[in-house]
Amino acid sequence: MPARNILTFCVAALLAVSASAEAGQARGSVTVVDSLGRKVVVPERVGRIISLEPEVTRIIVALGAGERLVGVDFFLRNHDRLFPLVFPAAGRLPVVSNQGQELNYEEAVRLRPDIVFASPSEFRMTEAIERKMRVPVVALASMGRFQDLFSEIETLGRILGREGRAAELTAQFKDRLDAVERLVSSKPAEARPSVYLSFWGSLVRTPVSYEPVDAAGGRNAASGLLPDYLGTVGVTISIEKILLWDPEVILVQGNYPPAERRVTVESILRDPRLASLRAVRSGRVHFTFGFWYWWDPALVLVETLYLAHLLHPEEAPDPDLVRVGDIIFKDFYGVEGVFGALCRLLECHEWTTR
Amino acid sequence: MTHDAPRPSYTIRPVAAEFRPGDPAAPWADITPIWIGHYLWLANDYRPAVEVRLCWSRGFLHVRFRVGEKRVRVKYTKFQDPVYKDSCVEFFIDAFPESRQGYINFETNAAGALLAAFGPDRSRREPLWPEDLAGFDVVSSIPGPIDGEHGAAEWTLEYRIPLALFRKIYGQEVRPGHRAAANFYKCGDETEVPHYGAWSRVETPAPDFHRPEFFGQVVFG
Repeated sequence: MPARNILTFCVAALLAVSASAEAGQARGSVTVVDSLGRKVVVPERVGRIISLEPEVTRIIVALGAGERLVGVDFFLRNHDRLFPLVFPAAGRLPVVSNQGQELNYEEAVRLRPDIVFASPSEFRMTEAIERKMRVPVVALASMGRFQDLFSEIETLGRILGREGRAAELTAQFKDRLDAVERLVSSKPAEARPSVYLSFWGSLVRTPVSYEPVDAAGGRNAASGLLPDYLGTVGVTISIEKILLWDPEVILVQGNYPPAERRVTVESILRDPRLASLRAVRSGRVHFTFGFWYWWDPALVLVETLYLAHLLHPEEAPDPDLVRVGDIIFKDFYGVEGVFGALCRLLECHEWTTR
Repeated sequence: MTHDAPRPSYTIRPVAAEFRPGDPAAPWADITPIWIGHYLWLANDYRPAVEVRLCWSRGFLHVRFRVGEKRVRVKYTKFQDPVYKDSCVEFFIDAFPESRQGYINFETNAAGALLAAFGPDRSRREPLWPEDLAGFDVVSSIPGPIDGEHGAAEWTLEYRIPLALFRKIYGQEVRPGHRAAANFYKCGDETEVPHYGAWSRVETPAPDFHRPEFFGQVVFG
């Protein structure tokens, strides 16, 4: 199949899904297994939610249950540029944690939540909250794995009585991910470029696993390393290691407004220590989105499509990213023009008009 | 609100060829890992990443640990020393749980010194003898005693347990499809930052790895 036809098929698959909301319904109590392997029994009707995990908060909104949120975390309120675009009402919700991710118990109790969602990375906090507040606490996150993102969406669907919408979201995601993977599926291992990811505002901090790169037909140079500690996927390496890997492509996390970016494409291209790298010599240094307290489920899908084009422009020609991105966001959140607005906020027009 | 966590399960892949620990041709890259995912009891946030891979051959059960620790302590060097006080990884297995005879604990510090015993619980344990472990081989990336940085971001430890040991202790043969009970641990009672990690969560208020009721399941594939 010619490349253009494949692209047409891909975009058609991307567009052939649409979102629909469903009403919650009263049921018996629900028992779920969270990301820490804990079984948690949650009440039959979850009407008031505190979420300390941004990824969970985003999925709650995508499931059409955003109006049940009564408190959100510090990061989402103060640093997430995307969330106000998909859920403007979040701006009126109380913030129940501080910059150090500590819960303001007094405020949290005052909000009378039926359930609290916490991060599995903060595993002691999960049990402390449950013990002190005597409400069910569910620790959920994808931890940067697509399969766990699907499980997370399905678990939240069960808790919120939105199983149908959860199934719809995961089916949409899988269909679109499959469409991207099919574009590059014919690429043998040796034709998949090695990729170094500079994440979290550091040249030498990188994820040991980043599935969007794998799905887009690349090979993460740090794959196989152990993370720095349990609960993260990040590892700190040395400049010497990057030189040894000599990646063909470098991706810089650009999910910050330009003024807040500590590592940029330009700074890497100008760094004399990196001048010998294949990626630098060939100019294959680019921004990407990356983790943002794990993922936004719509954004990581757009990112995977973007990366497929970046790594294999022949097989995955320019996907008109803003248009496709806006459609994906509309399907997840029911809001028009979100990806385009994010691009303007982050000034990432240079990513989308290549 | 919470109940006991569901027990994890892992299928131990069979391999056709015999190999020794440290053999560069070993098939580890093809073996799916499991992780020590529960750090318990101490609120110090020391949570080194620990990956465990197992496979089994006609004659041996192979176990490989990768541990994300830059600093280690190895004080003990002899068989049956209290290696759990050092930077340590442990494998407890009840190979035939339905026989209700007990489990074997293999405790190894970062240099591969071994403590091993058999029994039904913490208080009733018989140390294994060197002759019980004929054929047991261990290789570690840490060559000997150390207290501090060892020059790399991680250390590895690999050993193989002769299946004859299970035959001798339980009087039964491990066969494909056989289900055993096991747990994997990471600890260091007297390291710079004491810690207790487990594959299958141990639901006790105080540190206690000798709790077979919280073992997960391992299936000989």
